Amino acid sequence: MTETTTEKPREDSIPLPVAGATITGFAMLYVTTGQFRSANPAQFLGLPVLGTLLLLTYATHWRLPSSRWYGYALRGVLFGAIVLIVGMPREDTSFWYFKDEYTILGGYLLAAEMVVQAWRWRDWSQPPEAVGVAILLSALIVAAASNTYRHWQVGYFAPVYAVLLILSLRRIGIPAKTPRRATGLLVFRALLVLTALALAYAGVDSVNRYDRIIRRALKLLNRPQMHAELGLSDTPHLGSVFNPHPSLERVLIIDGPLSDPHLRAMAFDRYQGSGWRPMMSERTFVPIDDAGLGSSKSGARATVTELGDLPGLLVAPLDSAGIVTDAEIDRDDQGVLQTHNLTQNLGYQIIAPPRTANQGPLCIALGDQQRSMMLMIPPEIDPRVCQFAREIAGSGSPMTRLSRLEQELRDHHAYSLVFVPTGEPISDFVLNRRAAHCEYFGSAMVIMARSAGIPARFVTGYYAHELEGNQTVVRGRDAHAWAECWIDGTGWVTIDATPSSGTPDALYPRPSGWRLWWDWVSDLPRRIKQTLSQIGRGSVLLLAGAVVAIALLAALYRHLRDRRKQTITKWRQYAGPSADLAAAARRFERAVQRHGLILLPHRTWRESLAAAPAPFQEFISEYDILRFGAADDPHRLSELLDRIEQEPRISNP
Amino acid sequence: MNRDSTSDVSGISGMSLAALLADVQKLETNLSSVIRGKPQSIRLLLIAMLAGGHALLEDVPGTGKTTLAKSLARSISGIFRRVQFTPDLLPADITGSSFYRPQDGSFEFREGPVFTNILLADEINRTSPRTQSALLEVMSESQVTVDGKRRDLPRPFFVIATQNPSEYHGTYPLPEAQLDRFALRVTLGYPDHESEMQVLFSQRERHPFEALKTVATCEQVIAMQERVKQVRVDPAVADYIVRLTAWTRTDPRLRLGVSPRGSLALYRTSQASALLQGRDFVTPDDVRAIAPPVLAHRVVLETKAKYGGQRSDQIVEESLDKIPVPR
Repeated sequence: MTETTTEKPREDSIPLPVAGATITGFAMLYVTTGQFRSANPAQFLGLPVLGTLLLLTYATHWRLPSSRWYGYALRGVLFGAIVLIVGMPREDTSFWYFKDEYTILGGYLLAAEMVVQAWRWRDWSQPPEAVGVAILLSALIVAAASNTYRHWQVGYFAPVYAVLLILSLRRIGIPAKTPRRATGLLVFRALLVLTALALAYAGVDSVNRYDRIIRRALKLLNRPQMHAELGLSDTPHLGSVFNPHPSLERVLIIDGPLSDPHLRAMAFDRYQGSGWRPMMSERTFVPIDDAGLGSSKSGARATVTELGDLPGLLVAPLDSAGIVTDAEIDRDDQGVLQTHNLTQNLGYQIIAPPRTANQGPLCIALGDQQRSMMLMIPPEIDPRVCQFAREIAGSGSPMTRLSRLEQELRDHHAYSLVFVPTGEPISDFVLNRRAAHCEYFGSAMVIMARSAGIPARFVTGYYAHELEGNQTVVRGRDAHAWAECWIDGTGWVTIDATPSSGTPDALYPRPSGWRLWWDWVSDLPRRIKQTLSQIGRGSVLLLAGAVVAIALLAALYRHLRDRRKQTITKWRQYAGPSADLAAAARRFERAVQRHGLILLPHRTWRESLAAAPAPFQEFISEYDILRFGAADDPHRLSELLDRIEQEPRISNP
Repeated sequence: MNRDSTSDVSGISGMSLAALLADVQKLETNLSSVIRGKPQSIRLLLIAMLAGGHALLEDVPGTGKTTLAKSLARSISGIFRRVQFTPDLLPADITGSSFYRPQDGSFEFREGPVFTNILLADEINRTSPRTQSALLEVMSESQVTVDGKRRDLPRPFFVIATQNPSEYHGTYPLPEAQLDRFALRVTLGYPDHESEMQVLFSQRERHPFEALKTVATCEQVIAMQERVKQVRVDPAVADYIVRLTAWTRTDPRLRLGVSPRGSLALYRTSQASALLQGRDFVTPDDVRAIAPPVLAHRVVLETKAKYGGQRSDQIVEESLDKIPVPR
């Protein structure tokens, strides 16, 4: 087709802002779904090719033939090719909405549809339908691209897209003169709602990501902040104070019942130089499968969400029957659970133990080598401590001996947040000072149990006490330490010798209302994500169906209301003129038609024939006198009609 | 064009059509010498007066609203009074009130400015709705009731109100009931380039308004008004008028359509309009020409339509394109 300029300004290419918004959507999709890293050349090139095709519309005025079937066939081929390239998503996914496969496939299909729209022959200067559809498509592409939690890039694209979107929406000006149709209005509003949703989603997402960036930056600037927040260390050291800056930052949120408030994170078996070992790097972690984790065990489940930056540690009560999680879990010989592939905040479920058994995946049966390790009294401990312990424990079953030791520490030692040891800390605490914090109680308990011949280890973790309804919140200040002892025939048991005045529930009151409110606010994005991820496919379809049904009902209601108001449009006839006049009028109308002139029903003759020659005007004046002036002299009319009929034919006036 | 037949019919009343047209011609010439380049607006104002209605002149400041009203008053020999509507004006300031007379202990009624033939209500939307409402009875019934006593106003009684568009600062929009009492709303608009230059030169020495002469008497105006009432309206044309007003009552974009008072105003102004064109009967063309200024100010738009960029005169013009015309 040659380039010809038509007389009326007609745009055959998508308005630039809309194309810009669409290309932004393509770029988001390309980056967030990791297509740019794809080894598959078809996937690697797919979106750039579609984007180039879109931009090519500016280079040529040629457009697809405007046959409907042609369009359908083209789409069929294009969509089929995309499904072949991208592949259908697998069905075994549980949280289908957030799966990459769906995002990629949906995004590609929308992108292809956009290209088809761009190549169709239509006038883009006529808003709002064509532009509206294009904006809607671009919004859907962006929504598909934003449908991920793993990429912070959305946050960078969102502002660009928002600006282009606002520029595009300016194109949908409402023409002031013509009353818009109800469907057009509906499309327009649905479009606005969808774009608002897309914007809101992009906003939430970018805020989320910026939040994480800021937190990382803070951490770089102020490294000890993390320990203060967590209250945990991988090398506990018996110092003068414990958890010196009790942090209100939440570490865990647990929905569901807990079998024990003592949530263990790490266990240590070697006492060395006033501290507990092994360090994290010295531990040997072994992958453990679902069966090893007891994922299929029955029992009440509590869902744990880790908010703080625990280094991939899973925190759970010692007696948990099982752990359920998507992540790959490693375990060391002390029953410490850790995951390495941390991409987002860790979430898992704890299965509460049945009444009959209390040994779960965290309790690993004691081997001989470990037994000797956990019975070892470090040489720096004052021998009087061992002697004292053996005296207190006396004889009897291991449980009896343990409870005697625990009782001794509880009764005759006081809790104190500050303890400045002189000499060896544990010996000083047990023999002389008799007032210290929970790490001392835990360590002393371990040493004394070992002295009484019971294998024991030192454990750090959290003491969960902030229970609200079914939800338990664990904060950094709830860090705690205690002992775990091995009893032959029973297994591992938790022994917490800290007096009740020293546990976190006694130390720290409930946080203020402000703090709780702030927690609630900062939880909102996470909660929205959680809700969204739990929506099933059926409910989404149901929701979409409901929205469509409501829209249809609204349109029907509007239609009926307007129709009721406009019933008057069925006009009855006006009181007509006399028979002579009516005959003359009919003859006049025929004559007018023969001259190729048009009489509009909603205009008077004079208005319709303003440009007609004199005899027409004279007839109209004469007719008006007779018709509305009630004069009674029709003979002149026929004279005039004769003249009109003899007039030479006029071509288009 | 053959006019013989019309002059035959005009003999029925006391005033001949030719005499009336000559009088109107004089009035128009008089007014045109002051208000340049606005023959349409002058014609509309005269139609309002001949139809026995009242006129509302609405436009931005400085377009000659007050000058037009004053010029018309000066062209007619009756009493002319002017009320400058201010925010502190009270109803009694317009209608008049009773005063105590200490000599004999009686009350004396002192007439307000409405006791006149032509009342210029200048800047009517500068006063509060309370005072605006004092004109309700005055305008529709040509009478004033003060202290329980009814007093008739002189005839003819013609109110010309001027106002700035209600979007402007410091104005109270007229209530719908008040607006409905104006037969016509006339907008002057800016003059064209040539006319504006004429305005400059015509005022070089003194205002042309000073040179205006009286060209019609009150009796003449009353006779014209009586003559207008005799203009024939065919039942089909009356039907057309009612269809036009009824259509505005059913349009979903309008919260308030045109009242029967509006139909009546359209009827009377169409008669006057036809007469001024030298015809003794009303054609649908007359109705269509006069409908926008007569109807547009009487309808109230729905909020959605208002902010959707619709204008009442557009909707009225749309009704003219929707309703079939009698033939």
